[in-house]
Amino acid sequence: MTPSVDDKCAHVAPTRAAKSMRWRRVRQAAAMSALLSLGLPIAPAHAYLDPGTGSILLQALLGGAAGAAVIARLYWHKIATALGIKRKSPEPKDEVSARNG
Amino acid sequence: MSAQVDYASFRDPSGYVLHREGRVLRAVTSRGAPDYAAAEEGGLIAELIERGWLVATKRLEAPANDPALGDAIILLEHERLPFISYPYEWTFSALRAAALLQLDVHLAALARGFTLSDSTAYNVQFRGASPIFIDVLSFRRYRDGAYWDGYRQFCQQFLNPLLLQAYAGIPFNPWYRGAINGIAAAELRPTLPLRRQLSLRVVKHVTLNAALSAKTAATSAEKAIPTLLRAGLPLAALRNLIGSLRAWIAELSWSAGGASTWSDYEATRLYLDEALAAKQAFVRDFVAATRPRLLWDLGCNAGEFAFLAHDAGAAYVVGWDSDRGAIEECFARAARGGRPVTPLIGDLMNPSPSQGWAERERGGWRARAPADAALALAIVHHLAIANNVPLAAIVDWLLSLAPCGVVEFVSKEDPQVRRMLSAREDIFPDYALAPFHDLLARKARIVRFAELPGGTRHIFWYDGGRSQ
Repeated sequence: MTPSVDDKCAHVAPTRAAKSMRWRRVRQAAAMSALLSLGLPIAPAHAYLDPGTGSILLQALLGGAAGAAVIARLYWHKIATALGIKRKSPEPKDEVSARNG
Repeated sequence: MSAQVDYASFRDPSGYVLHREGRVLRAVTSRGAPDYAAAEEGGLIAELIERGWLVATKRLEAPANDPALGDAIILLEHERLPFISYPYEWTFSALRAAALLQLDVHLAALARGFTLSDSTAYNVQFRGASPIFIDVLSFRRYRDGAYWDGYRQFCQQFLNPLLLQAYAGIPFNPWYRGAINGIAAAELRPTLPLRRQLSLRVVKHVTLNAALSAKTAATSAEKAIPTLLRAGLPLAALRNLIGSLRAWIAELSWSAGGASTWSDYEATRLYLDEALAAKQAFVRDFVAATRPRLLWDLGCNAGEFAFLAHDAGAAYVVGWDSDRGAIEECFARAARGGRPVTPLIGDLMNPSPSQGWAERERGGWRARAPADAALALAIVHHLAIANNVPLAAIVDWLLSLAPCGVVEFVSKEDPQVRRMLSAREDIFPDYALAPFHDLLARKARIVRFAELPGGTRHIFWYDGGRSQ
């Protein structure tokens, strides 16, 4: 199996990893601003009924390309891990050992 | 003038319903007034009333200094519906008709720039077999990108109970009565046959819905909600979601099959045609003389006497029966004829209780009684012999539901009762015409009494005076 970009990032020089991180942030920011540029209200002002988080997610998934894209981003990490495209994130472990050390 | 705020009217701070001298009023608060006024000015309220989808509503002058209307900005009066029923009392066809109305009202609102704040099945009532939407304060001005706040509620209170019965063959009523806010997707899913679970619509609206509503999924998704709300749901997508649910629900069906005990009762009954004719004439005379506005037919079967009572002068009939096949047939007849007969699922031995918040939100039978009159035809032997209820208790119970009525007494010599006693010990020495007659005469005036041809059935027209 060819190693993915992220695999490489974890093992090569820190400068390349940092570059990759920067790219990711730029892409995220671009996606967010694209969504924000729609200029829509953040929360419905009239809702006395709790629509439920899952219900919003599902409607977004069924109903809109933009919403589906946000959800895809949200779950991408888990999906990629499950498919073996991406390794489990090593960061939490590092944080713990860093704090302990 | 005293006014009583409706016990079920507390969830939405936009307003509340009041009962005053038999009139149904609705106070609209400052929170609900702008949306209501917009729906009225935008023509939505008038259009829905015109179509017969929304309860008739008119504006009243709100009297100043009325303590009952402290915070009301707008005061409305609604047409008074003959009877309030609940989704757990509805037949499959009734819940389906109510679901379709809910979606149609939502689509009509969207066409005029409004949406609905919720999707509760308790906002739909019945006139005969026609559903009618009753909550004028559900309409809110639609904002671009708004999600459907009531989607989950719609699934729990309409879609999931219908799927339970249509796909799993399990009647929704007992479950719904216990879980008055409806059936959650996660609870429904395991009941569905594998073939149904593989359908795309079930995957979307049940499986995925359950998975995304699970606590772990919901918690991990919370971060995304602000982004999703900003991204919004396009109007076309909302319409499409509602439209696809509508198409799906319209094609759901349920049939009693061999499960119904009584739906073919009219064809196979054990007694004589002359007895039937005499009974019909007796009931017709009673109804013509008393002309009840609201008559309860207890154990109405497929509605033979309910429709006869309407023909004879009862303005509105509510029929109760626990046999799903019979009551479904009764609903179909009422719908076909456009009759003011509402058939409801109810077990005489275990009627709907008062329940919900503080046990007052949804009224039980007693809370919704008294009717003006009752029919209790061929039920006393079921209560007394199949369920061991003492005759005196049956008489008291009848008089608690309506001040007057017609009750039939079937003697032990009747083939029907003989069959009921054939496999069990006769522990009913007091079950006989004379003791029943005495018990009834002690509590009510017996206006007329007749023996039906065949000699084993007797029929009483009783009047207990004012309701107890």
